[in-house]
Amino acid sequence: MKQISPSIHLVTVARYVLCLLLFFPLGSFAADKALIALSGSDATYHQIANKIISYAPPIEFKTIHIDELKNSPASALQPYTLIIPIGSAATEFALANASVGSTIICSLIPHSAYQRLQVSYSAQITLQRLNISAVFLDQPYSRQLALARLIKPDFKRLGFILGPSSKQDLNKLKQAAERVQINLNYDTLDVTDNPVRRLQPIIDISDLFIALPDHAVFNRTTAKWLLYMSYQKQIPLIAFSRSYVDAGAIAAVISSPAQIGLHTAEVISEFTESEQLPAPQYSRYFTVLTNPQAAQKLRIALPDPSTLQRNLMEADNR
Amino acid sequence: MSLLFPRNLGSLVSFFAITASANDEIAISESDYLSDIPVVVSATRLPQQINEAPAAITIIDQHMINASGATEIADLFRLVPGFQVYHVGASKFAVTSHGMSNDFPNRLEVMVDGRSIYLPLLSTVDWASIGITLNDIDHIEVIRGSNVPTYGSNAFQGAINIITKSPLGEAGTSIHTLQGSHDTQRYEVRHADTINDISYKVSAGVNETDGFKRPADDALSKHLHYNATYSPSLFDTFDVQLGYSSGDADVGDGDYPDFYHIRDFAANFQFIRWNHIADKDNDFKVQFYRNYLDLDATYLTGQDLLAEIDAQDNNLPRYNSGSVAYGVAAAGLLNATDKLFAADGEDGVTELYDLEFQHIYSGIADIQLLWGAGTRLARAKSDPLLGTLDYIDETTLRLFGNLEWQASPSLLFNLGAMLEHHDQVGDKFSPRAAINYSLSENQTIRAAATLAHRMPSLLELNRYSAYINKADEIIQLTHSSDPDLDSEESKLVELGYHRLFKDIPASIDLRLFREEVNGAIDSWHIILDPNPLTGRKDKVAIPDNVSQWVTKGFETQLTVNPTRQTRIDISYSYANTNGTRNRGYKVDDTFQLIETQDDRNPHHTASLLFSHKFSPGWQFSTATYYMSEVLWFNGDFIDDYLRTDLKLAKELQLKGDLTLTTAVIAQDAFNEQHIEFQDSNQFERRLFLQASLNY
Repeated sequence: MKQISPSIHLVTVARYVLCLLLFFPLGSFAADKALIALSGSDATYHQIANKIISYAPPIEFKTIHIDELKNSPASALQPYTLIIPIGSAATEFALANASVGSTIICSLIPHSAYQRLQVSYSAQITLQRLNISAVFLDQPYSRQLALARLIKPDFKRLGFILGPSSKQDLNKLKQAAERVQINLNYDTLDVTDNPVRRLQPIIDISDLFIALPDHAVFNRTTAKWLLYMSYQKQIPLIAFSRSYVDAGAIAAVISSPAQIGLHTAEVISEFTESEQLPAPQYSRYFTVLTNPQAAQKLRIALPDPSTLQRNLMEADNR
Repeated sequence: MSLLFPRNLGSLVSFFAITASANDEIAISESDYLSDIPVVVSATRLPQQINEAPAAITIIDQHMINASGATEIADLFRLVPGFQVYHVGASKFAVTSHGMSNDFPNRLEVMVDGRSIYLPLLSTVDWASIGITLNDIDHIEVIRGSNVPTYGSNAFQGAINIITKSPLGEAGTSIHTLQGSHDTQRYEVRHADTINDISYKVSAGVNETDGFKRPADDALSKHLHYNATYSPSLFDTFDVQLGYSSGDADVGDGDYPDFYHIRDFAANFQFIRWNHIADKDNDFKVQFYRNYLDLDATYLTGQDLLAEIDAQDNNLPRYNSGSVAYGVAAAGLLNATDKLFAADGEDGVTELYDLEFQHIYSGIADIQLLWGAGTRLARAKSDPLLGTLDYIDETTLRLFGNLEWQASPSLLFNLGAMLEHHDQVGDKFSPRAAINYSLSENQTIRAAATLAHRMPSLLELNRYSAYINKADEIIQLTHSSDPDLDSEESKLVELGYHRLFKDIPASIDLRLFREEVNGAIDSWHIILDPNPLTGRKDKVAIPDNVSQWVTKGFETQLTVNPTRQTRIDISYSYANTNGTRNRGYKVDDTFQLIETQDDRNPHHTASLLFSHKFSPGWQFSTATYYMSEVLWFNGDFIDDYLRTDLKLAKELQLKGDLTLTTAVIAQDAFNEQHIEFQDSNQFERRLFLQASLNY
């Protein structure tokens, strides 16, 4: 990355702010033209976009891929006062390039990624008076702990391993665990560590294990060990994705693309109707996935996923 | 860039991006969340779900293994649509796909954890000497249809990958026994633990059976298996497996059940694999293994052999003759020599060394690319089969790859190919192209085309069997080989449909296929000029590309869990084969024996596996197998049969972690009785008691 001296930056920023104040009108919250920006071309992004278009108020939506945006003139975002970036890359692009006073409703973004972008672009958000909110991809720890409780009602010691990214989340997890009086056993795992040496002591003293999402390669490599060792010790492993449950975790609570899309559409409706932007939030819609074969191996009588889901909804509403 | 008037927002972005990039190391995105946790299947070597694979796949999972009541690994393949399993002897099994097979099925690749157990000396798999048992298996991945583009020649009509339980997956010790019909006695013990960061599992066992009533082909085998895994870092894993097995079995020709002879075997293998994940886009694997098998047939004197020949209607033992009438002059010569003759062809030593490298690259959006290269040295020496006590070596090289391209959310392409080089046969290219189209989230259709080649095996290229006297003169030449023998070729087109049902846990898989095999290797016969010693014209069998056929049909498999305690697995296959083989006999330059092959593949094979769990700890299961009539090469006409196995199991939680599982198994419970491969192998009701203690 090219280094730019801070003084030059200050001058640049000041001039830019002046330009903006003089030449750009303040954005209207009542958008009539909105942009959906996709971070990737996977089916997931398209499913969310389709759901938003189907369920949001009758606004004129334009859908564009992030690569296309990056190759467009810098003014590409200017016609849009409402931007719905789907995924982290599109969110970052929107924060960096949105016009003054734009509203950005991020979708499918992990909570931690949103927080980091919020910090990284705090100056931009202030300068451009961006109005931002989000519907997160991940689940609140309280919901995941409630699922753990439903799967193993008497568990007391929750084990987990912190990777390069998930270690940032420790406090959040601690707070959630404190509320429901669960003891935490954890350690950090680096890529240079022997996974058995790090994981075994944690698994040995836990009666339930939760896999925390981290970088894809970390998730993939730790999954193998976690799945094997949790079976070996006969403790259930709660995961964070469908793929993880397919691979052998006992259960996960996830929000599907359709559910995230629906919730995002509802946030858009709320915003356009009231001109009040709701706070960033976890998806209120979620699905519980279970792996009956894994349950069988662990000799756990698993309630069916719809019962678990209903119970979790009740817990959410309490 | 002008400091006064920034031309675009880029400058501002780059400023803020400085802070953002500092977080790159810890930042994760939705793609990290949604990334695949691998479920590895054997179709392409890539981690793929079944509905993404370019081939039809059957997974025999732990549930099916337990519920089936199978007491032998080979028996499990009765659950696979289009597969046939038969006893060649009580302890000798044959597994084939779409029939067209004899007592040495040679067109399926069989692997244990990615290690080929196909024997170059016999061109088949010897299930009795593989050194693992049912209790060692975690699951089995079966590719139905040619998988040469992924695994090479041996996978001409399919591939089986037996995945054993990981040392990480089971802790503690277990003791297992099986007792029952035919004086079967089996004892196994296994122990798994982690010491000094190395997770290991060691298992040992002994198995004894008296075999069929007639022939009395009793067998004894012992095995020891060591499996360890070590991960010095999260991104590196080393797997080591060592195995040893030995034993003996009575073998012979079922047409002459009174003349079975003991054959000893001793086998061992060494396997090491290093898996290195360099980063999120690059996954490397290097593996090396060595297999060794020594088969010792009983050797007879000329006089003993003659006594048997007399008793066998003046025919020679089958390995050497194919039941050729034997001349009196030759008999005299046999009588006169003090040379020893192998009573059975399964005699000799074979070794296999295999080194392979593989790289998976997933750094391009929507694309997974796999490529790899390998080399294999196969060696064998055998007096009765190869006519030599010196090793014959055969080296092959292979280069393979598979490109998986997610062209759109619903469209997936797989392009794979294998290029094999064989010193004698040359280069053969086996490609496959497949399109998987998702009709909806739960429904996929697949169209695939495969061109596959099977290199002739070491045995087929080097066969040489003759009765030779002490002076090294040929008394009779029975088998020879053709140095110009070419590879077999298969053209496969298939349409597949896979559906997961939402309302009840169920899945269905359909496959419609047309498989054309040309230049298949079979015995061609020539008549030699009169032998100066005997005055006879020896008829010599030579492996040649003389057989061809087309098989059309469809297969289906259905799994339903109507309740949480109940599971049903159904498989069915319809296959219709038309083809001919030229046996080589000529009269006045006209071939006299061009056989039809239409009855060499059973039209129908089906299985039904039902299991239900009762509380507390009881499970009842039943497996029913059906196969319509077939005429195996070298075997007898087998009428259609139905076999039903029943199993009742009870699991008892004793104190602490101590678990006792007992089961009673009745195979062919209704005693419908049928013939397996040849008339002498009568399968009738068998009862077994099984007990396992885990702690």
